[in-house]
Amino acid sequence: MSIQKIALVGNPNSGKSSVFNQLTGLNQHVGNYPGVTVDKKTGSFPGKEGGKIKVIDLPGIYSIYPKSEDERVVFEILKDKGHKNYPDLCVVVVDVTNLERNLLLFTQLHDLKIPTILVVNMVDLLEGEGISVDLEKLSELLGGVPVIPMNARKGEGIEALKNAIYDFNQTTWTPFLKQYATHDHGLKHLPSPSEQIEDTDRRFKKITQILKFCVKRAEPSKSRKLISNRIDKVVTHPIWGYAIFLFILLLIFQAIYELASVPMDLIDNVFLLLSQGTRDALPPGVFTDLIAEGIVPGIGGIVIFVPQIVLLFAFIAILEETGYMSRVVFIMDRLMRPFGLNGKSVVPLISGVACAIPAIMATRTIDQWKDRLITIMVTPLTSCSARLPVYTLLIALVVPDKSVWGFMNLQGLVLLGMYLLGFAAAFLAAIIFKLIIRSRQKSFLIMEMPTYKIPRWSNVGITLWEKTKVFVWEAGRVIMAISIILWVLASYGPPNRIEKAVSAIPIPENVADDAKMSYEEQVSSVKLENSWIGLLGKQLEPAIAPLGYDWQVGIALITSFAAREVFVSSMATIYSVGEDFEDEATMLQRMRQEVNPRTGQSVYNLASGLSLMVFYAFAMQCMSTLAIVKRETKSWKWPLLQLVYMTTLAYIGAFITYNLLQ
Amino acid sequence: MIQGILVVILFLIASFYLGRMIYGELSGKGKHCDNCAVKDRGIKS
Repeated sequence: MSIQKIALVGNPNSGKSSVFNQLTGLNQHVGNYPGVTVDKKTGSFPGKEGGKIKVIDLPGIYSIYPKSEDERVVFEILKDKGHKNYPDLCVVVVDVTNLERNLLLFTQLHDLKIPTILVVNMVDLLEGEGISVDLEKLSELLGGVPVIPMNARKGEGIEALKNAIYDFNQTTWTPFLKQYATHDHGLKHLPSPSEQIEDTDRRFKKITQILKFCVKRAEPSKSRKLISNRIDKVVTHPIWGYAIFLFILLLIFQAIYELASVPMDLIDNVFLLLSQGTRDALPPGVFTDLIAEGIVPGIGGIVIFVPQIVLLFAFIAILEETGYMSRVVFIMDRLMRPFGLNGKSVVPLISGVACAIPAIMATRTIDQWKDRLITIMVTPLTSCSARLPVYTLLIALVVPDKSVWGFMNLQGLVLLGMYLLGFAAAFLAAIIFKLIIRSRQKSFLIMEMPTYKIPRWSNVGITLWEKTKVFVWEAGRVIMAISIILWVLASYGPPNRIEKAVSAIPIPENVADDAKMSYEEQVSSVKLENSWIGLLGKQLEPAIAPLGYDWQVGIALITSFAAREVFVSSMATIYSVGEDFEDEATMLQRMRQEVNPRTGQSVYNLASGLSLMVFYAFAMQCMSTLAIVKRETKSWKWPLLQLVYMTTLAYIGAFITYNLLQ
Repeated sequence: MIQGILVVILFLIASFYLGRMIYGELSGKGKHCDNCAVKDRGIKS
């Protein structure tokens, strides 16, 4: 039998994605965190005699009977032998420490006459759990199905699995339950709920009997069990659990500030030198100006935040790897229930801290459509990594760098506050949407607590590399394009307008350095003000002046509409255009020096800075998220509503913040 | 003169790239979101 296409199937968190990575050599994201895969992933590996064997990694499911969107993905493929992704062979991955529950799905697939190989994963945990499994006996009792032991995280057993796939040749088939024996044509029609329950019950009874013959449980290692239970008792405690989570968040944000400051300063200075170097190396002219004032500061404005993004993703990856993230999901479920959020909304909301797009995809696990919609609508309020550069730039501008209670950095505390504000806004918005969408159905989060594991540092490293690459490459290309357009629009204006405005500035009579500098500053300011983008910013100014922003911030608000992170690079470009590069001021220094001509005060003070942060915390400045919401809801109605409500919330929130602090 | 031409060319390329990206995202063929979604959640568009 020649195998062309195999599907990886199994319960959530059984290690399918690890098996997928080992088989295909790809580096798909793997977490010690249920629900990492919510749709199929595909890859391939070489066949024994040339050619490729296609591998499809399907979302984790507990039973073949679908309840939610991700389970339906599996059902749709496996129910119909005519489906284009119907596999020649199913590799069913089971967690060896929980065979009883994991084998249910295997028996259902086996009875659908789908050729199967059983991968008994996480065998490295057997010793610690005090379990021994007679795999030969298990294979025999399951009708001669090949059983392969594996430790997929480390790749142990992968060759045995490949050989089993190459040599697979099923000649006989013994049904697990007899009433499915005639089921030759796929699962075209779902059994009724009562039949499903009866079927499941009968399967569990038989599985329990089989496992009595082949699994021996010694008294588990007391110390290991005790340690695990003790940790869980504390980290999921109704009070201490939250305190610990808050403390961990606090540590993360403190570390983001403390550890990232040195590389950030270094990057800032490198880009300043690059700008100056470009100007020195190239002949004078507009193209040189474009590179030195537009492209280099624009790219530098985003690269400077790479150390912080890397740290944020590193902490998230470590929390996922250790298994702590699942405990966070558990305690957050308790916190979110009073707000009417579905238990399964927790994973998307927590994932939203990294990026709203995969988080919105993760709502596919929510079976009730109204609950799913509410989660989609509120998830972009959680602070994603693209907001981090905006927050840190503004915090560095307006929040003093000083210690609180002797050991905490005030700037780190404010950053933590912004993330908590995002969660609070999501919870409150959920209450309102619950009333509007009128979802009264209750559902519960049932999830497995994975065992605590030492993080695989190689996996953390790969995740960091991939995420950073995506951040720099994806955001970098957009930023480069916007920087070029912005520089041109900031350097040119309607015919003769800039020249007229500049000639109206009185030339200082004395040649003292101060007077000369003041004149040059006025010239560059007037040039920008009368440029195309300056005129656009000026048009917007009346609308944003109540929030404490000037027209330059208005420009950055417009350019960052497509993606929040563009805000920082836009500011960098705006404050570089026409600047004298002998003045070695970094972007932050230039922004600090900015004075509002009307009030005579600094443009970026505590009131306007926090107002701007609140605006970015709530505003839907992400086109990709809107596109994904449209794709998931199959309508433009919901993303447009999201855009309107979030922008309104941002405006009102920023207005209140500015006026309270002013 | 040459520098001016280079600026115009870069400006046109940047405008085209940005326009294509915006159109791509809004018409559901966006690559930006797919890239990270595939990596994070295994989504195939």
